[in-house]
Amino acid sequence: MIILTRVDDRLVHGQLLGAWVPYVGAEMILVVSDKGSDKNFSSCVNSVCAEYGIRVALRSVAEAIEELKADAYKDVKTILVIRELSDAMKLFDAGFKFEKLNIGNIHHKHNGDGRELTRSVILNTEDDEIVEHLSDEGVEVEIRDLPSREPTPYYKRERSDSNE
Amino acid sequence: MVGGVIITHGDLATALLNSADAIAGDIERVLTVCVEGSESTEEIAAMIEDALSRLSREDGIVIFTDMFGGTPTNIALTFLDGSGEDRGGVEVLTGVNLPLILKFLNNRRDSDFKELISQLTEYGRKSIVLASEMLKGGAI
Repeated sequence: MIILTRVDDRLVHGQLLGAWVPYVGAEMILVVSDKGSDKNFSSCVNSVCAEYGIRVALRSVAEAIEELKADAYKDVKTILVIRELSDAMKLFDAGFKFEKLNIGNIHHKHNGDGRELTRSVILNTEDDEIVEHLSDEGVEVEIRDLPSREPTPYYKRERSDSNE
Repeated sequence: MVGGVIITHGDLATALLNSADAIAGDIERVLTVCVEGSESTEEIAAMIEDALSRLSREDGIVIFTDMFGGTPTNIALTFLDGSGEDRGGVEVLTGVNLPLILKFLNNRRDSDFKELISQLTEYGRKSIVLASEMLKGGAI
């Protein structure tokens, strides 16, 4: 069972292990990323998770789609951590219809169109389109780094923003 | 001389180094990287790269990070070279604390890199003491 679907470009890190895992009582973290992960990082994530008594697996978007379709995690309380909003969109379009999407960390400040919703959530135009699209589809999009904090409300990008 | 980089969430790295300076001094070739929530992983990696480039890999560099599993550690790990050279290289020690930094400052001139790393690892683990138990165990 996927108990939390989160977009986080820091993947498995302090906020996740220290706060979200105990908060939702997760038994497993499924990391979805098409960007190859550093070998040292992956093996260390494995040891960290072992230390925390939690399983971890790293999947490409395509692999994740297959596994989610097959409901491969139905017996395991799983946090899905997705590197990019666009990857979350791909999962959604492929049939993984999450009802709620948590946004933890996105740092898209380099293409000139990034806007800062919180210190750690900086969305580009494509991200905004995705959030609006998901909201239209009925997904509750929540910008919230930690369970102990109030979510930050999303507001639409003013069209003039894109020309700045 | 072995160099050091302290990498933590927020300002802890700078505060630790300031405290170490106040107690021991001799903090030359020890740099800090403070990781903020607003920084992308690429930016953090670039800050670490910059710090490493100002030190000598040949003499050895110890990267101290705050917690195993946190972003500072995760990114620091990508700089492990795993060269297995006899001299120098980069090592990452997690769970940095003040005693560990002081030990590093005191020992880094006299020990070779590999020896220093094993001393620090052992010392760091021993540096947490339950005072009441210690006092009970052996009054001096």
